[in-house]
Parts: sequence; C-alpha cells; structure tokens
Amino acid sequence: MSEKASRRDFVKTAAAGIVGFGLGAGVGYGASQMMAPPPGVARTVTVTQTAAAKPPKGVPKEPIKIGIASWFTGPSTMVGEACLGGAQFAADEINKAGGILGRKIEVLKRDIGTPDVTVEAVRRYVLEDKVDLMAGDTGGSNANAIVPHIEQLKTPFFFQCSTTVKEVEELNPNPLYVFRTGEQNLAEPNVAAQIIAREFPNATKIAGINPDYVYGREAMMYSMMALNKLAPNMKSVLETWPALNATDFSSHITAVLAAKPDVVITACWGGDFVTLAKQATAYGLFKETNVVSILGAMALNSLTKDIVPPGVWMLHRDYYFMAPAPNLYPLNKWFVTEYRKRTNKYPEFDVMQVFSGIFAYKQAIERVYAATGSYPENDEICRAIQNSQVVSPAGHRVITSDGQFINALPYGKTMHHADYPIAILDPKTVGFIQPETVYNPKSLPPVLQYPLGTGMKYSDWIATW
Amino acid sequence: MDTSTAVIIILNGLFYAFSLFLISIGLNMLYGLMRILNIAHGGLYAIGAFSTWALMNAATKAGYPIYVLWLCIPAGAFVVGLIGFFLEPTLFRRLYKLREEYSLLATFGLMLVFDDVLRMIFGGSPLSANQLYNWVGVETILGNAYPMYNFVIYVFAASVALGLWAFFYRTKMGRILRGTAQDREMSTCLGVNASILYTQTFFLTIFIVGLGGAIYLPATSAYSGMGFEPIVLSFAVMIIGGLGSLKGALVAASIIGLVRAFGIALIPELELAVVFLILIITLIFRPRGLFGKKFTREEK
Repeated sequence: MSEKASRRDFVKTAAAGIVGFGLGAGVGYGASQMMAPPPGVARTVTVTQTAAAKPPKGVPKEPIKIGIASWFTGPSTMVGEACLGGAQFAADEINKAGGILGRKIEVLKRDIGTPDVTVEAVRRYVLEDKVDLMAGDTGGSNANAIVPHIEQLKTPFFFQCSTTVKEVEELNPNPLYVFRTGEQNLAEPNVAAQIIAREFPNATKIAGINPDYVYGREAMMYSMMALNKLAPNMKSVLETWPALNATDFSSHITAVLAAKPDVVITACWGGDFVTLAKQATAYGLFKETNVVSILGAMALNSLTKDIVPPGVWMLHRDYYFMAPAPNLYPLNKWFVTEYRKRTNKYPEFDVMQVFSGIFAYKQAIERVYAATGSYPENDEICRAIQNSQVVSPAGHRVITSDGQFINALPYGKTMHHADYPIAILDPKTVGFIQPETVYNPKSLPPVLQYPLGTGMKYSDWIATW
Repeated sequence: MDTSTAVIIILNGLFYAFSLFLISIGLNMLYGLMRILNIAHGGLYAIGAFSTWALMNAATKAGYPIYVLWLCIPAGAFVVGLIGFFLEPTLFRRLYKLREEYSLLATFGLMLVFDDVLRMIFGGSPLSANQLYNWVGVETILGNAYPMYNFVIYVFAASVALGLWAFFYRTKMGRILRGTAQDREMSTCLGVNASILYTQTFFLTIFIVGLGGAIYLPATSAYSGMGFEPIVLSFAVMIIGGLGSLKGALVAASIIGLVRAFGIALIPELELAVVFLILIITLIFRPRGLFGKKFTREEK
C-alpha cells in the first residue's frame, strides 16, 4: 500500500469512527457501536475537509493549542519525547487534512518535575498560554497533584499512563476534564498476574524487583493481590526495592537468585529496565528463572538483542507496534511506518495513546458542531468524548464515562529476529488480555459492569474473584 | 545465606563502591584543594558515559577491532577533561573567592545545562554499549554466573586510588598542590603559578570523573539524568569519609557499597535507608567524618 493511500485510508477509518457512534453519544455502549461504520461515513469527512478550506461559521480562527506536560529533562525524558512525538504526529496529520473544522493545531511542550512544578506547568498552560487541551505522562504522584486543578481549570487533560489507584478511586472518581488515554497503573499488575497464572501453572515462588516509589509498590501489591486469587499457591519469597533511576542492580539480582523463585516480576522501566536487563543477562537471571516485565516496554527502542534475551515475558500496556499485526491491520502498518520515517523509532505505547486521544478530541468537536451548529465549549467536548470510541492503531478504543480509554492489552514472550535491531515479541506467543478482566467494573461501560455494579474499590473487586 | 552467595554479594558491594569512589574522589579533591562543591560532577560523569558511547558507536559502525573500543574509554574521559579545562578559567576561577553557597548554586545550574545539552544531542532514550561487557564475558564463581567486566572496574578503580595516592604523597607536584591548598598566597609568593596549577588539577579531577562514567558505561547504560543519583550518594561518601580525604573516600565508598549489598539481601526494605543511616551515625559520633581534618570555626 502506498504511503499516500494509507493516510487517506486512515482518515477515512478515523472519520468512520466519528459518525459510527456519533448520533448515539451519551447513550452507552452496544455491540452495534463496535461494528464497522457504514460506507457513507466517508462523505462526512469530505464535507469537513471542504469546509476546512473556508472556516465554518462560528468556528474560531485561532489555532487549537495542545500543551504537552511531561518530562523533557532527566531520566524520564524518553516518556516526554514519546508523548510529544505522538502529539506532533497527530497534529501534522490533522493539519494536512485541513485541521479541526479548519482550525490548525499547535503543539507546545513544558517540562514537569515535582508535583508543585507540575501543578504550575498545568496552570500556566491554561492561564497564560490559553491552551485548549493538555496531554502527557506525568507519573503517579504528579497526576494525583494536578487532577483537582484540571477539573477546576475546566480544560481537558489526556493522561498517558500515570494514573494511580488513589487518583481513580479517591481524588477524582467522577472526572469530566480528566481522560486516561493509557492503561491504568492498577490494571498492569493484574495483567501480569493473569500471564503468570496461565503460563506458569506449577510455579509457587515469586520474587520482585520493583522501583521504590508509589508505582513500584502498587505494582507488586496488586500483582500479589490478584495472584492470591488466580494462583493461591504462589508465595512471595523476596521483594527488592531498587531506587528509581538506579545504575546498579547487581545486588538485587544476586539476592533474587539466592531466593530461587520460579518467577520474577519487575515494574522497572526506562533506563532502569535497560540496566537491569543487561546486568540480569550477565548474572544469569533470565536462564535461572522466568521473568515477567510489567513496564520494561517503555524503553522499547533501547531493548536491543544483547540486552533482552529471548524468553522474557513482557507487557506492552495497551499497544505494541506489532499487535494488531500490521499485515492484517493497515492502519497500524501506516502508523508504524510513518512514525519510523519521522523518528527512526518504533512507536511506544505512549505515542499511540496521545495520538488516539487527539483524534478522539477532534471527532468530538466535529460531532458536537454537526449536531448544534456552534463550536463546542470544553465541557461539551469532554462530554462528547466520554462514552464514545475512537479508531486507533491499537484497534477500536472504547472511552468510558469516567474518561478511561480501553482496548485489549497485548503481551508476549521475547524473541530475536534478523529484521529487527531490538528484541521483539514472538508472534506465536502474542496474546491480548481483555480489559473486562483487568479494569474495575466501575471503569467499564455499563454493559460490561454486570453483575458487579459500580462504586467498588479495586481491591474489593479482586476479592470477589 | 551460603558462602558462594556471600562472596558474590561482596563483589557486588565493591562494584557499587568503586562507582561511588570514582565520582566522590573528584569531588573530594576539588573541595579539599579549591573549596568548590561541584554538583556538576554528576553531569560530567554522564558526559563521560555519553561521549564514550558516541565513540564506541562510531568505532563499531566503522568496523574497528575490539581494542579500539577499549581506547574509547580514555578518549571519552579526555573529552570530559577538555570541558573541565575550558570551564576552570571561564567559570570556576570566579568561584574560588566566593562563599561555598555560590559554587553550589552555579554548579547545580551547570548540571542542569549539561543534562539538557546531552538530551538535545543524544535524545531521551537509554543508550547501551555492550561490546566490551560481552567480549569480556561471564565466568562461574562458586557456582554463580558473574560478569568479568566487573573485575576490569575493580582493577581500574584500585589503580586510580593507588595512582592518586602516589601523586599526592610521592611527587613534587602533589606536595605543591597540597601546600597550595593550605595557603595559596604563600605558595604564590614562593613562585607557584596557582592559576595554572588549579587548571591542571581541575582537568585531572574532571578527567577522573569522566573516566568513571566511561568505564561504567559497558556495565550500565547512558541516559539523561544518570548523574543525579550518584552525586547525592557521593556527597554522603564525602561526609562519611571526611571532606578532602582520599583515604576517607575509598573507605566510606566501600562501607556504603558493602552495607548496601548485604542490606538488599537481608533487609531489602531498608536499602535506601542504609546509606543515610550510616551518614546520620557518622554525623552524630564523628561529625568531621572518618578521616576528616578537625577544623574550628575560625579556620573555616
């Protein structure tokens, strides 16, 4: 498929998603909404693009500003770069097609740091830069700090990852302006537990190497909580807590090897996982036991073959560049190809998350405008995003009433292939965990909540298994 | 815990200890000789790793043999030393006569600049150069797989410690340096060109920290912000060992490395607390550090 044709297909497909559930906004989810949209949808896009040449009535002339708030300095820079890369990619594609109702998109970036600095970054975006939308992976502590401000500032924020149990259950249980375009942090350990229970049915001893902060602690705690139900014989024999951004994991690896676990679970990510994997290979950890990495995939492009051996089970949150299989799903093929042309990298899940978020934002604006004839306010846009879905490189993503983007979660076991400089997932082992089994029913569309109902804490829900 | 595991834990402790030593020794020399608290040392450690990565990457792509990659380590450190050579007369010389708070602030700013520049040049993804690590290979020690590259680091760090000791205590230049550190005016009166001496010393300390980043690169990886954690722990090494003490830096780094390694195996929950626990105990019972000089307020 040529590049040009692919892009056109993508716009058509995305637009199909717009109208496919456009008129049904706010009425929940049904199976019919998950089906392919009717062929006539494409004409809507044609109208939109024609209108873009001459701005539609009542549409502001100013560009839409999207502010990316993430790490652009320090050890987590790769996260900020992925968010920015996804946002710029989406903006460029939308601008090429005429913008959103003729409005071009401008992408800004601002560094974050401690929760105080992150709050200031968000407030300055809204109060000084007058942004229309914010997005970024901020980390759990920062997300907890800025969520109340986002609701107060009445400007949508699309989180990539970063959401903690506390944020979801206590700080902002009924968000309007907060959207989580990435898998919730609390869902990942559940995915890991399901993989462990399925792939290692005879395992009884587990050990952990997890970063010593809220995310690492929650990852281990919720993994064990789920494993207590899925594999009741599994006992934790050692839990080690290296500092975030550590440069030496040798002592942790030796301690874990001495404990002789059947499975090791790790939520180390970024540069931490690269160093851990390199040293674990040398110390024989991957040969001696089975390793399940919850978030190592964040450093996707750094996981070269001499660092990650075959046979490591890896979660890829809600997107892996080879799943859905590009040869079977042209949109993903186009996405990966174009992103590699732009950056020479394979797109990480953060890239897909912010990319699909911006397209959800676009379709919400166009949908409300089509229905009302006037350009929507922020609260109208957010309500139109809730209870909708968006076509993305990861497949169809359902957006729940509390702003959670949901799709099947890919995982698999690593292998080496001559065509790739990095360790890839063996296609024979790639599987998808269904979101219904990892998200609290409260976070799911009403049709999927039966029979548990809403308002349940995640830990209470796992206790019902 | 069986004996073989204990031996590996000791080796791991030394691996960590030597990384702290290679950073803190430069810090200690700068403070001991020039009264500069150089936070940017962490950034220079990172530059050592990144520049070595760039050289190794280029050499690998060009198809050079493995010994050329070994040469990339001192070459990467030399790049860092050159930065130090440039920074001393342009920035640090202005700080010698100012209070220590100014050097803290200025070098912290410099650390942020270094981090940003590295990110601009190399991007945000972690970079690995594993050729030497893999080439040296893995051997079995008492039934446990162990990366032999770690022994390269042990030998190297021990050589640096011995070399520095010999330099300071067995050479004329070392004696002049120590004398100038005690009384710069008197040394100048005796014909010592303190400016050139400081520039040379600065180059040496920066070269050593660059060498630290360079030699650890094959065993770890280079990534933006990699210098922040080591710099914090290096200050702990300085305080525990005693400000300005070469011997203190080596002993304190070894204590921290070994206690941390055994702490992870025995009480993993206390990993982070262990270092600072040692620091607190030192400050309570021996505020000047294990090998620090006792000074009065007037001296300061």
